[in-house]
Amino acid sequence: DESETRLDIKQFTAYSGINAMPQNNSALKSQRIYIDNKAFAVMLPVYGQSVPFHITMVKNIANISKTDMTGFGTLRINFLTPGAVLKKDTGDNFSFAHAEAAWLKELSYRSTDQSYLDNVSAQIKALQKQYKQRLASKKEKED
Amino acid sequence: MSEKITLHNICLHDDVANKLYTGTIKIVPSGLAWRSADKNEILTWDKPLITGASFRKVGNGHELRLLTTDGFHNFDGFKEEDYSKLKAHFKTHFDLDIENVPIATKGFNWGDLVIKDKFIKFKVDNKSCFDVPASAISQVTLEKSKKQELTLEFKGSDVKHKDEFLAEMRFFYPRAEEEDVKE
Repeated sequence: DESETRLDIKQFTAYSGINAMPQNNSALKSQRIYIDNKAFAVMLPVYGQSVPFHITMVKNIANISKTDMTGFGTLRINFLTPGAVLKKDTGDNFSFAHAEAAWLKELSYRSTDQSYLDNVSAQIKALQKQYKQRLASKKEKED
Repeated sequence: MSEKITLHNICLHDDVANKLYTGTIKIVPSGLAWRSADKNEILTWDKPLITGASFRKVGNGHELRLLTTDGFHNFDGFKEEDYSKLKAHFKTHFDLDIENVPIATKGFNWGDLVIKDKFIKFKVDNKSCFDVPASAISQVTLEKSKKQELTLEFKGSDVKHKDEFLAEMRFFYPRAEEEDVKE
């Protein structure tokens, strides 16, 4: 039962510190998107920084295909925000965020390479699925 | 102490185009210079033009951000151990402190928006998550009515890039009543 799943802050920490982050990674070196399956993290380039997000924070992905008119596709990564969480769960899962917090809600990337965007989108979705399965099997063991 | 620091494979990051240009950085008591690997471009800043600097971990090693009278310049590709050398040189010769900026690694998406040095900074747990240079923003939309959303659109997002290019960013303020965000 999904509503009974309580989110524990430690369980969705991507990296405990700098040393736990991927080193000498070619995708990160060239400021590209990187999916770290081991850490359940998505690293997204934002003005020189490769910013990690735990897969829990990714609410969904919109992949808007390239058209002749635009010439590029758009990959929109929507993140969890309090409103969305409260609808699904009854509780105060995000109460550890301070009251005045700003929430990053969306990052959108564009590329003329639609197959690349499709690939990134598929990888993130696969990681979401993998993480859900992991949570489910963990819960099963606890029960 | 060495009077000169020369480091190769230091990339100048063009923030608006999101491109990295490889080159060599040279820091002497009178200022700082960066030369592109193809030697076609040489950028120099004399000591009086340098107003500040910071250092942080980024995807490709570490980055030195130079604040100058004409704006800012991000250099990527430093090693962690370069920090102490840079710090000593900047202190001795430029009378400037280089802050070693702690970065957010936990992967959370809530924090604080701070506007400083012509950057919009998103901080998580008081650590730097990312900085957006104000100069890269083409449009700011603030919707107060019901969604309490701040949308940033970026320059160059209508250009056709093969590598993914950050086009838009959106923030949500659940508790916002009065936010004054201006470029």
